Amino acid sequence: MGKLTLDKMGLTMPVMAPIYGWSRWRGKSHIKHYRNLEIAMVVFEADEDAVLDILPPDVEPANSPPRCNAWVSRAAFVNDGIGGYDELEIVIYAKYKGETYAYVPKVYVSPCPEGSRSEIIANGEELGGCQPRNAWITLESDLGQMIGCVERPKGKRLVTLTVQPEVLCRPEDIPMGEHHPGLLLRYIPNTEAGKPPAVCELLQFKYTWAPKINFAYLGSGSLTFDSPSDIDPLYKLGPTRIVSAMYYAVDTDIPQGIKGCTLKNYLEDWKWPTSTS
Amino acid sequence: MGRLTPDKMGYNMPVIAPLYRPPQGIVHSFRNQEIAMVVYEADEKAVLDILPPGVEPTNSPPQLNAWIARAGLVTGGRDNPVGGYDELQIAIHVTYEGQRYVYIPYFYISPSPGSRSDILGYIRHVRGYPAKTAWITFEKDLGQYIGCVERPKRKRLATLTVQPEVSCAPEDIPMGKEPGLLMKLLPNTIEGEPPSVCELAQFSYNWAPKADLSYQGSGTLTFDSPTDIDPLYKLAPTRILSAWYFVVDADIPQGKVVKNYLEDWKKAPTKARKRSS
Repeated sequence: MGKLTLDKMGLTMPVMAPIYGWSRWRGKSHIKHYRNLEIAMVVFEADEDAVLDILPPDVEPANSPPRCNAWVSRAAFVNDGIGGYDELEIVIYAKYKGETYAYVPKVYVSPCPEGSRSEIIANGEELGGCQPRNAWITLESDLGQMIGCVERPKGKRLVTLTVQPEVLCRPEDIPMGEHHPGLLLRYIPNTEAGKPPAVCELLQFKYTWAPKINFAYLGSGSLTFDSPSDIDPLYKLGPTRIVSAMYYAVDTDIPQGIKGCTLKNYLEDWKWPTSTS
Repeated sequence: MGRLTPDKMGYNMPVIAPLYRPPQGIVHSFRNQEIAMVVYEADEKAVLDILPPGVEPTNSPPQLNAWIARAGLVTGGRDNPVGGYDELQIAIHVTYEGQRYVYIPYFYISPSPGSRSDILGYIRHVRGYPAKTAWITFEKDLGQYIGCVERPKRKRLATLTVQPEVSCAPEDIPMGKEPGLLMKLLPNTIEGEPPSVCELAQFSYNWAPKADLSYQGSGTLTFDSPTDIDPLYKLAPTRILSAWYFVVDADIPQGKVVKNYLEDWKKAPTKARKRSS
């Protein structure tokens, strides 16, 4: 009989050579390390109706009108079997039971450098629930501005984000970090057809956050969701007002969750609809 | 408050614009999938080390299939917009509770050249394939088909060749007669907790090799550059039994759970798991 007993299995599949999470076999916790993560970020306001449509029950916008971040980032190095990637992340500042969080409805990723591969999709979906999709993402510097572009499929421009870094700022001026824990809806489908998902839960995640003191800039920015598509309906969160823009580099560590990070298990509290659509 | 109630959530993440659609009958459809396959024997101890409890090799010595395949057209309409990809699949002929299966311990995928594919999330989270990303090529040269797998690029994990020599009947191909068996494990968000999903999942499939494109021939399979990150080399052939080149249409509906290991997991040691080898 097979000898691959449960105590010998890795953190994830393939269980004898996992796609990520080798740190565990070294007796350490699985922690994603980002070093010199380069971020061009625009803070903006969006339509309240559109935001409410994509927030889970009991979660509400922290501001009125709702305030969001969009960033395009470049993580050239990520440890533990994952590999570097560029990313578009959208964040909605939201409240759940009185606490303020950075709710992440969508992430797009693209291996970095171009021409490489990354396993972030599996890690992001399985452990974090950060809902990543593949896209073609670029982050470049041109004419004194940083420009991030997201296409999916190639040639279909979903997002253009620009930031012109103008004045140095303090790291604490950047509206991200430990004081804004992340909030995610983690959803894993069932193996069997017609059954409720295997996982449907609201998670908070905490992270260390250390922007570089001499590499944090405020400036002017723009954000456009250029070519609308209901397959990737980012355009519904189109900015009604740009609040601020910044360009910075940060070291950040994202550990696996700890006890108490599951804020709500929707499988227990909800009568699941009979048809998934 | 947020309005994204369960009845409005998509079938997977991002729940507001899911990566793939809910299954409606047939989920995963291949058309004209081109396959070069080698059937071989491997070391029994190495095979037992990677089979889950209760699963045993059907043959002694164990019999395996390795194939490299090119799926240019992967459809299901909007059910399954995953995009084309190449794959390396290793399958072990096994028996579980008296029923014969092909158990898949390793599965590598590579988007078709110049493209991106969303197959990784789909195949891991719905089906439980132990999929990892790699660099796979599948070419024809000097009358042979040659498939190569590298991970990372230039680290040659596998080389498979098939020289098609004589046409054969589709039913001669030793694949498609037994359902597939997968060890589906998805980690918990919370460190130290049992996985969210830990189950033995079976899948059946319709399998129609093309009568005019089914060939038997000579073949080779080498696991060229060993690494314990991807320890395919432990399943190296001790004897090549046969080699095949064929083109197939296949439809794979959603699977079925045959064993849920979570109950067993609760009884497993709680200390950090150590690598057994």
